[in-house]
Amino acid sequence: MAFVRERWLSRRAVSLHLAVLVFVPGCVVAAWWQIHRAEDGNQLSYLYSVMWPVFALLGVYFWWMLLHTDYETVGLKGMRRQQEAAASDDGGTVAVASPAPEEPAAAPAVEDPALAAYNARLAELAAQGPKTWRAREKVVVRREQ
Amino acid sequence: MKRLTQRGMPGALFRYQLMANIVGVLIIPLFIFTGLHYLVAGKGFKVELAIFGVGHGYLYIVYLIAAGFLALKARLHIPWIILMFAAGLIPGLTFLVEWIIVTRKIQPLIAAQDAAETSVVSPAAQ
Repeated sequence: MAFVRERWLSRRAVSLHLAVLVFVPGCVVAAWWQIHRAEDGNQLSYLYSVMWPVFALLGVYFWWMLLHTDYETVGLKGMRRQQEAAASDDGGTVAVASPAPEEPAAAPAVEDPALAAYNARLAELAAQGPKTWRAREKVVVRREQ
Repeated sequence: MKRLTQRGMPGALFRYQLMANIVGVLIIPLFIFTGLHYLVAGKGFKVELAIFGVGHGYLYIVYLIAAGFLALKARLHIPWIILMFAAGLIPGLTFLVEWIIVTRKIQPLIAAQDAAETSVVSPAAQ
């Protein structure tokens, strides 16, 4: 629940909701206005009556994307922040990454190869974290190997 | 592992640069013919104005969308986004803003992402 609250109800998320709540009805109103102008015979309004609904859809898409990307890790600032964090405590990331590669090497001595592969796969999945709509490609890529 | 915001960066950059150059080229004759239309007596150049006006009008919308997607991928801040949007309307500024955005904002980001990716991959490979 804390995860949901952070994603959808943080200050940044609420300001995004407000922005999209202003932007999308504004686009709809503008589109309605331009459709009426086009009906009255304004040639340019045919273009604008298509443009405003497209802008409304793009607003919804951008809202969704901005909501579902972690602000701390994205963009040039996020890259620098991550690099600084990795430089300050490089032991932390290695300790998290190392158990998954070591698992298949240790397991075959005692276990059935198929069971070992299954366990390695489980460890891999656990290391990846929860499967989300954004992280789904990781699972697909591993399956092809 | 590539995040969705990093995956399409070269494509978004290419689309933005393509549209910036098209719009930047189109705005110059539109500006010239608008000036001639009002300055020269007789209100001529109506055909030229219609061609470049409609062409720039349609393609400017495509430019806005391409710039918006690039700004989303690179997480540009609002002033930069406004500058990108305005640049499509001012003759000459389009090329300048495109150059600044690409060299100051996008290329460092791509370089940092590449560096981070190789630094993340290399310990696992060893």
